[in-house]
Amino acid sequence: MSTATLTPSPTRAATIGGWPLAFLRGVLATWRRLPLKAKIGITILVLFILVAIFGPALAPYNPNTTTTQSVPEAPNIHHLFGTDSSGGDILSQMLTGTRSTVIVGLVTGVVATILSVLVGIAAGYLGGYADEGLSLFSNIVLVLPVLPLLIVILAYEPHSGSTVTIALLSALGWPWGARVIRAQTMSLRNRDFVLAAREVGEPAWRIIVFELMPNQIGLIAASFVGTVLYAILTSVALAFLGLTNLSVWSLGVILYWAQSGSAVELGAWWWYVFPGMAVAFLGMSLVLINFGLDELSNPRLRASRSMRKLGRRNWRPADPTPVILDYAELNR
Amino acid sequence: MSTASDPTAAALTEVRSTDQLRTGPAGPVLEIRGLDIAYRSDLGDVRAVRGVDLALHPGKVVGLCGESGCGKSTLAYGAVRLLRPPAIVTGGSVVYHGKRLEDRHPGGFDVLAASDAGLKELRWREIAIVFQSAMNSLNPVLRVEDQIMDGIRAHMKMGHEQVHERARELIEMVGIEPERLRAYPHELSGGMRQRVMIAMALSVDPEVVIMDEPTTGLDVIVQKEILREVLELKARLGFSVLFITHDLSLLLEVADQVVVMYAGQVVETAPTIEVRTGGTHPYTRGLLGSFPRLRGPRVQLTGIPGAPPDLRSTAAGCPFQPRCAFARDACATVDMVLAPVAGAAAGHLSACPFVAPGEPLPASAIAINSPTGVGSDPGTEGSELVLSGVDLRKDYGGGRRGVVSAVKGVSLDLHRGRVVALVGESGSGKSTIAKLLAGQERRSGGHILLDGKEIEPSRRGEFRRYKSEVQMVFQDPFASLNPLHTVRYHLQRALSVHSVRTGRKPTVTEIDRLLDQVKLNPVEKFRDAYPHELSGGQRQRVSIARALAAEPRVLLADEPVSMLDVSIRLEILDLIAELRTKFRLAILYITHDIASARYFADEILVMNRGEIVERGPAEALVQNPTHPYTQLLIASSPDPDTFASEVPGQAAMFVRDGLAKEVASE
Amino acid sequence: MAVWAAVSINFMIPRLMPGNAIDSVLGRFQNLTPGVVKSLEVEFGFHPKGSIFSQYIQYWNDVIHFNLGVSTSQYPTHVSTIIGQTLPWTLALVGVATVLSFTIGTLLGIVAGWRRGGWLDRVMPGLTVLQAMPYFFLALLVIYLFAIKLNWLPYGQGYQLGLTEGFNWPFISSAVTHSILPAITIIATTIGGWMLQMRNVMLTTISEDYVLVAQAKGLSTRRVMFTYSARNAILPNIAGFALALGFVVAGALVMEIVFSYPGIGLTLYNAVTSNDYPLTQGIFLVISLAVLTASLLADVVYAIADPRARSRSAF
Ligand SMILES: Nc1ncnc2c1ncn2[C@@H]1O[C@H](COP(=O)(O)OP(=O)(O)OP(=O)(O)O)[C@@H](O)[C@H]1O
Ligand code: SF4
Ligand SMILES: [Mg+2]
Repeated sequence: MSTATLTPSPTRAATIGGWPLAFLRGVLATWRRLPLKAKIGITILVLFILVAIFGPALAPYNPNTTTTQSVPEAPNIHHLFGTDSSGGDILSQMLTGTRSTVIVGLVTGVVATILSVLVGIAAGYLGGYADEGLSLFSNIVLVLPVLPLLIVILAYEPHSGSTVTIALLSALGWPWGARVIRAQTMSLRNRDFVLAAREVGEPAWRIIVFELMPNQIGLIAASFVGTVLYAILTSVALAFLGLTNLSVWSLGVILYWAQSGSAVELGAWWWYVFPGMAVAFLGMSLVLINFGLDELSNPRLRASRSMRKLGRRNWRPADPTPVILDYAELNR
Repeated sequence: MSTASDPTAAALTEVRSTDQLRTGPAGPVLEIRGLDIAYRSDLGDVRAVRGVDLALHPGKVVGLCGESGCGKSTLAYGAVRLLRPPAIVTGGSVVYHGKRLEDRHPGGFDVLAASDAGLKELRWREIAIVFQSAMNSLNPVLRVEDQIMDGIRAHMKMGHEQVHERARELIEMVGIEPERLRAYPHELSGGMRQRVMIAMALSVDPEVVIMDEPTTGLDVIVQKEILREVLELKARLGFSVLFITHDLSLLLEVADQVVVMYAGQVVETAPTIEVRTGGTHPYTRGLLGSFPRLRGPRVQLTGIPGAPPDLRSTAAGCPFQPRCAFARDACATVDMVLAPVAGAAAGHLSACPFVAPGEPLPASAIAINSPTGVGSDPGTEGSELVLSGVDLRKDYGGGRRGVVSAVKGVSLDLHRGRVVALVGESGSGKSTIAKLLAGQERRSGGHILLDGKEIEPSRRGEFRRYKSEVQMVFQDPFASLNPLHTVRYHLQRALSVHSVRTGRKPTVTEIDRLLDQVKLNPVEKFRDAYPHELSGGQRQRVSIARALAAEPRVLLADEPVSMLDVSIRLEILDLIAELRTKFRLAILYITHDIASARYFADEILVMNRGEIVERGPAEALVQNPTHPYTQLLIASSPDPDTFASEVPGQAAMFVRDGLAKEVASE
Repeated sequence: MAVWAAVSINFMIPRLMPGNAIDSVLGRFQNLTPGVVKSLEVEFGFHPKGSIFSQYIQYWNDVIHFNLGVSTSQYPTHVSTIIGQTLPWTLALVGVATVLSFTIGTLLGIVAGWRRGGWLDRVMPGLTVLQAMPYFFLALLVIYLFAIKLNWLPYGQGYQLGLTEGFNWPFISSAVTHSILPAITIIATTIGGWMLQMRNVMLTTISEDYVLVAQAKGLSTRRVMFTYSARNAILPNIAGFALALGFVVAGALVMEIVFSYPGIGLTLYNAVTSNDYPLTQGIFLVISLAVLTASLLADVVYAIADPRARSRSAF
């Protein structure tokens, strides 16, 4: 929720090695500054993306295979995550299905974020009637209950593919980001450095692209991460309700089959716990990344490491100033 | 819960109580000794206060001054343990000897060893604080009345009616109608909020009031009124004041004793009179030489070159050395202890063992030449008119709130090589004029003439051409450079936008030439720097360089130095003056400080409520103001040279009081 | 404004569907009485009579009179009757659980922020794992653990079948025990968010000058913590409440489906799976209006809580 500006660490342009190296070094420097939570989150997310890319190739079985058995098989050496009631391998289904879940999340994230940046910056920078119109529009979309609306729409077009899902999720998912970006743009617009750029004679597009946007990277990133989370949770829910294309594996679809196969009543916990946990981990990684971004942009949220080194006791923000007379010793 | 349970702290209490026997009951009401405060940080601790001694005697005003970041606020809040982590007190003692606490704490109240509950008793009832920014120190969602009353309730047993009555008394005491008690803070003006803070601070009759920049950000006229009230109340109620400000000239009017801090240390402490006559420590003398005076003959200004040191460093010796005109080799190893100044009054201590009072500045020190030399108006002959505004008007708003006329028909002419100062209080419309002339805002009426031809700068097609003639320097050097771009980027863009007209390509050579013009040497050091690596003064130089890239004929400078420290202001003004001569720039200098206008401008326009009330050659206008508003403005400006009163801290400053009422009733 | 949008969207959805979709919708209905077909046609403009504009007027008129058509799956019950039966269940469960979650989460957030670094502050990231979990997944886990494995609490339906609905003790106690698990699930998934946001805003607020002033005044810790810090910090949380409602409702809907709780979410699901379009549309409309009302309420509360907002809108 923080609207503070997040400024990536300004690393000096490398004089040797050219820009790829400089870029790499910049990435490394930024990584080092990230809070631990963000590092954990990014690591998990990257793992999921790798699974999305290589998972289908790694799957030990064809996820669609069915055998003649009629009860789900508990995890065993052949089926690490067990099987569903018709003998399908859960692990293979997950390795295959992660791809479509991740794709829906990321693509929706990208599309919706682009929309929110466009709307947010346009509304914030242009002001006036453009702002009023765009704000009104996004406020309206904002209060529409997304999931029921999707359910209603998909009721007419059931089992449509992920393209439709992505389109709908993006169409409904941008106002959150647009709102914060607009607020931030409005405050930046009247900052002196933007006025100064205009004073220099810079054209509007340059001001937007080179002065405003770089100062909003943190916000844009946060809004992207938030949108991905929303897209993943919503799309999984839709699949779980059986409203998407059930012939394409995704984490939500596995859960749908688990529910319709009465996995809970049968005690076949592996059928829904593994895919469910996968979604939870994916979601958690995103929440952690957003925690980290929050801390980066708002230093007040960060616990000072050097204060922690003072040990013994946890200093709360509103305590009287600590008096530590053996300070010299502490510093050694 | 508290440090009282800390064995080391308990041991220290014992040590201290023997210490206090020496002080005796007739001593100071608040005594700080050897106080050390550090801010922990991952890059090394910022030692913001280093071994500071300070004694506040009953009924006195002690003034604490120094550049921004020298640790004034840290010292004051640290003394009542209000600093938040990562601040820690790492040494010294703070003892409060209040009448009310005498029987319970015979040796004085040891603040550093106090428990949370003990501090609650001490705070407000004994030591109250008026905070640095009145804007943020009132809770926006509570009524003023509730905020005054809860302080009273926390410390006194009174019925609801009594508390309410007390709140009414207090608010009337600071000159606000009692009806405003029901208001929320955002419904009050800045001056009123500051008065509410003062009323609050006095609500439970404290013995010590700490005032941290109580009037910074207020207009001089309001500042004067508030200070007068504070001093009157002090005389009536008998509290003592620790008055913190970066403005030494203000202290010379209100304080009995002046304490000058530099880089976390006290470098000089002296009775106010002694400072008026020149001070001793080179830093104090630098401060005294930095502010332009409004009264008496024009004097040579000296300023202080350079910037304060990084407080993380623990290097020995005098921290002022890099900026000191008297510096010698021995300064690198000198021990920073306050020693009595030979031949001066008692209570006059200085940390510089080498410089005696009255010792003349070394010739090399007079680095800054008074910007306009003699200050007599050369007149407009022989300098062609570039830009003029005729009957400029600007209305804001409209709609439900009605129209606010910010500028009501202002005309002014800018000639090449001349500086015109536009002086006025906040809200008088002076920045609006700058924005109209810069083409940033559309005017509601009037004409802008460039070289005698009417021009519409805010129109798309004309804007860029206009910008190549008229450039602007912004007030806040910390906000006017994009934190993500290097100095090189900023200058390169400015050069390339105007390269067609100036014929200068955005090359490194050209960038270096610009940096050199604003005296950012060596240029290699600054070319690729990011704004956060530069000091305020350096950033303002970059801003000026950027404006110069267009090779304009007109420079609009909207308060170009008001965000900078006094000691640095002169250098920047000096630079602008020099560029004016070099490029024959027409300059509009906008300021709230009429004293600096006297030194810097050829002509002064005084603005009040959207209109120019008086205009004339700078020196003449300052010496003989005719309009009552100008007179009031001049009378309200701090006057370090008022020797009229032999009792410092008393009514010396209110000689021309009657004027305020005269103008207010207008 | 948003009401208008919700109603209009509802009006437009069936009309914007590509033609073959309409045919397939009609095709899916077998052995429908002509009456139903007719009502469908009117309702959705499959065979438009009059201009789109006059249909629109007619539609508004219907909506205002709660005339939402006839359910096709429970023919000939009116859609508004079905909604009237199921809505109270949802309002009671989701409303109570959300208010509880918001209140408890905010209180915990206040404490966590005030005692930053304390145990509460440190377990908080753990709570957000719950937040990232799909609601229905948590619901499945809860059912498995508490209802099936441990058999502590019942699940499925809103009350023990066979009891008479009404104001009698067996019914009420049964309804309450049946709602505990769904309520726990709702609270568990949403509380972390409220708590985290409150904690973060608390930390920012505590470093405001006016809180420092309150401390300098020697006020009691409780007063500084609540009247000066939490009182201000809660404002963004209230604003956030209005915005987050859509998500809360979405979660609750899915939960009802998993628990077979007889609320509006389950009804919506059943309506969708049985192609009962009038019912689907009617429910969506009601949900939209409910969310809107709640977020308007939150706005009103915000205006009451923040005098600055009050004076801004007063003029
Ligand atoms: N929270 C903090 N962490 C690290 N350093 C700090 C912190 N707060 C202040 N400082 C540093 O401590 C020094 C003293 O700050 P302080 O606010 O006391 O200065 P000041 O004299 O009151 O300045 P001003 O005139 O601007 O109010 C500064 O150098 C500042 O950078
Ligand atoms: S000690 Fe040296 S450097 Fe410091 S003030 Fe004195 S003369 Fe200047
Ligand atoms: Mg300060």
